Amino acid sequence: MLQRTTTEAPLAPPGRAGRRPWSPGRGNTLLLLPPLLLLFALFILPLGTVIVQSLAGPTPGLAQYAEVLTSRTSLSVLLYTFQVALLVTLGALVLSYPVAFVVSRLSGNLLHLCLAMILVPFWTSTVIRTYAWIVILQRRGVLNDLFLDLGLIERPLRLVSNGVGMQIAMVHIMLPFMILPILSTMRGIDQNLIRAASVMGANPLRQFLSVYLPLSLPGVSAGCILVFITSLGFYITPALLGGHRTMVAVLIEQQASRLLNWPLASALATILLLATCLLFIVYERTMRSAAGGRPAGEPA
Amino acid sequence: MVNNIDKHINSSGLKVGRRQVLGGIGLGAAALVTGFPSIVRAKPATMTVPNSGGALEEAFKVAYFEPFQKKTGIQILGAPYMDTARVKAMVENNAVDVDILNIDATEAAALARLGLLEPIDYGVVDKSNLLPEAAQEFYTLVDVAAYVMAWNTNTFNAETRPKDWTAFFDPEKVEGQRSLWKLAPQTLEVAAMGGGQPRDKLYPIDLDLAFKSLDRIKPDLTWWTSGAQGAQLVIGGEVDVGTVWNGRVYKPKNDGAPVDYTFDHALYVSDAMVVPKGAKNKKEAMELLATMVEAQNQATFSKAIPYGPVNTKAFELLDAKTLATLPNSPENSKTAVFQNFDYWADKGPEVFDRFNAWLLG
Repeated sequence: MLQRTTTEAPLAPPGRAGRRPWSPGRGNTLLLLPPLLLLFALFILPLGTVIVQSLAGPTPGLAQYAEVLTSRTSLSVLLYTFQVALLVTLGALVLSYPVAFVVSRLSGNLLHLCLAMILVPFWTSTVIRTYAWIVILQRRGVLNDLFLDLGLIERPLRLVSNGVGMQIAMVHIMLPFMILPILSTMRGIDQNLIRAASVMGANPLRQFLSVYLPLSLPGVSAGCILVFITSLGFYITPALLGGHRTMVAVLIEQQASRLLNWPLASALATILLLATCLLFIVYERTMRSAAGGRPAGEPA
Repeated sequence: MVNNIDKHINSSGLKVGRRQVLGGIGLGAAALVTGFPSIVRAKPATMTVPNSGGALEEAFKVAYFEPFQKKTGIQILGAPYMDTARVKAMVENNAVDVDILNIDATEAAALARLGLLEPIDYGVVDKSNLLPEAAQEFYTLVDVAAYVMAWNTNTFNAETRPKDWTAFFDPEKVEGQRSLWKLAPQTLEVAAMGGGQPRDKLYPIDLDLAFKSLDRIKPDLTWWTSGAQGAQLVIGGEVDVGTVWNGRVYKPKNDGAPVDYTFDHALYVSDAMVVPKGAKNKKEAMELLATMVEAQNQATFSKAIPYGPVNTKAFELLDAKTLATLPNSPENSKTAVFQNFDYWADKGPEVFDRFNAWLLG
C-alpha cells in the first residue's frame, strides 16, 4: 500500500513547540474503561451465557452441535444464509462504489444533498423500507403494472416471495452501510497521488487500478464486513419478502421462542458466530498479506 | 380486611383500649403464623397484563379490565406480548413480575408441559358454562378466533372461490395464487384437510397427506409471517385466495376492501390466559380471569372484536348481527374444528423440523 504519511504526519503547531500534541497515552486508557465495562455487561456476558447454554442442554456436551451439523435442514439453512449474505454484499458493493466515488468528489450543497439522500433511508425503519419494496415488487405492484402497461411483459413477473425480491430489498437496505465507509476512505485519499501517477504516464485506467483502488480498499473491506455480518442476522426482510427457504435467524427464533429448545438455538447462534469470526480472520489475513504485512486499513 | 381494621382503630380514636390494640396485634400475628398472608397483605394497586395489543387490547380494556377495576379497585395496565421464551426466562430466574398474561393457546400448552404455570383455580373461575376446550388445568381460553379461507373479490366470488380446503390445495380445480402462514401449526391442519383428512379425525395430523397438499400448490404459493401481512396479500391482490385470521379481514371487508372470507371448515385458534408459576398476586389474577369469562363481559368483548366467547351463555346476550361475525356462533360453527393445543405441545419439535425440511426441499 502506498504511503499516506505526507498528510497524516503529526506536525506540532507553531508556537506550541515542546508540548506534545494530545495522544491517547497511558493515563487516558482509563477512558476506555466505561465502554469496556458496558461491552462486557451487555455483550460479552450474554454471549458467554449463550455459549454455556449451547453446551448444557438436556445432555451436556456437544450433542446440540452434533444435532445441528448432522441435520440436513440446519446445514442447508446455514449455507443458504451465507450465500444470501455474500450475494447481498457483492450487490451492495457494485452499487455503492461508484456512488461513493461520485459523492466523494462533490462539495458544498450538492454534497449535503447527496449525503442526505444516503442517510434518510438509513434512518428509516427497515420494516417500512421492506413494505415499500413489497408495494413496488408485488404481482400487482408498481413495477409489474409499469411493465404490463409498456407491453414489456404479458404476465406479472414474480418478484416477491422468492429470493429475488428479498435480495433486492436487502441490498437496498444495506447500501448506506457500504457507501459510508467507502466514502470516508475515498475522501481521505490524497489527490496528489493520482496526479503523480498521471505525471508518471499512467492512463486513467492504470491510475485507478494501481493507485486509487488500492487506496480505497480499507473502506471497501470495512463496508463488506459490515454488510456481510449484518446480512447474516437479517430477520424482517427475509420474513416478509422471502420465499420457501429460510434464513438462520428464523430457525433460531423458532427454536428459542416457539419450541423453547434454548440449547439448540444457542448452538445455532454459536455456529453462526464462529463461522463469522472464521471468515473475518481469513479475510484479515488475506488483506494483511495483500497490504504487505500491515493490517488492512492501518496507515503505514 | 386490613383497611377495615385500620378504619376501626382510627374511628375509635383515643378510645382504643390497650386490650383492643393487643388483640389487633395478636390477630395480625396469627394471620402471619397460620399463613393467611392475603389477610394482612394489601391488594396491589395495579396489575400488568401482557397481551397481543392493538384491537385485542382495546377489547380487553372495555370488556374486562374496566369492569374489574370497578369491582376491585385494581387498575389493569396492558404490556407488550410476552412469548413463551420470556415467560420461561421470567419463571426460571425467579423474577416473576407479571401475575397473569394473554398468550396463544398452543404456547400456553407448551408452558404447561414445562411446569411453568400455576394451576387455574376453578373454585374462583366459574367453568360451568365454558366450552369443554376452554377450561384447561393450567390455562383458560378466553376467546375463539379462526384461521379461515379469504379471497380477493376481484378474482373470486362466493360461488367461484375454492369450496373447501380440498379445492384450495388443488390448483387444477381452481387456478390462482395462494397464501399460507409460514409456520407448521394451523397450516398443516388445513393442508391435511386439503388432502382429505376428515375434520373429526384431524389429530394426529396425517403429515404425509399434509405435505402432499403443500407440494401441489408450492409453485403458486406465497408465505406470510404476520397477521397483517396475511390480510394484505389477499386485499392487495398479491394472491387470489389465502388463509387469514378472521379478525384481520373483518374491518377491511366492512370498509369496502376487495376481500371476503368464510367460516366454513375454519380452524379455531384461541387466546389463553395463564398465571406464571410464582406469581405474587395469584388470588387477584384468578379474580381477573373469573371476570374475563363472565357471560356479560364476554358478550361485550365479542361486540368489540369479532372473536367468539368461550362462555356459551354469552351467545344469548348477542344480537344476530354480531353473531354473524363470530367464528363459533351456532350458525358459523357447523363445519369448524378446534385446534388441538396439546398435539403441538407434544409434537411441536419434530413437526417443525419436518416443515422446515419441506420448505428447503
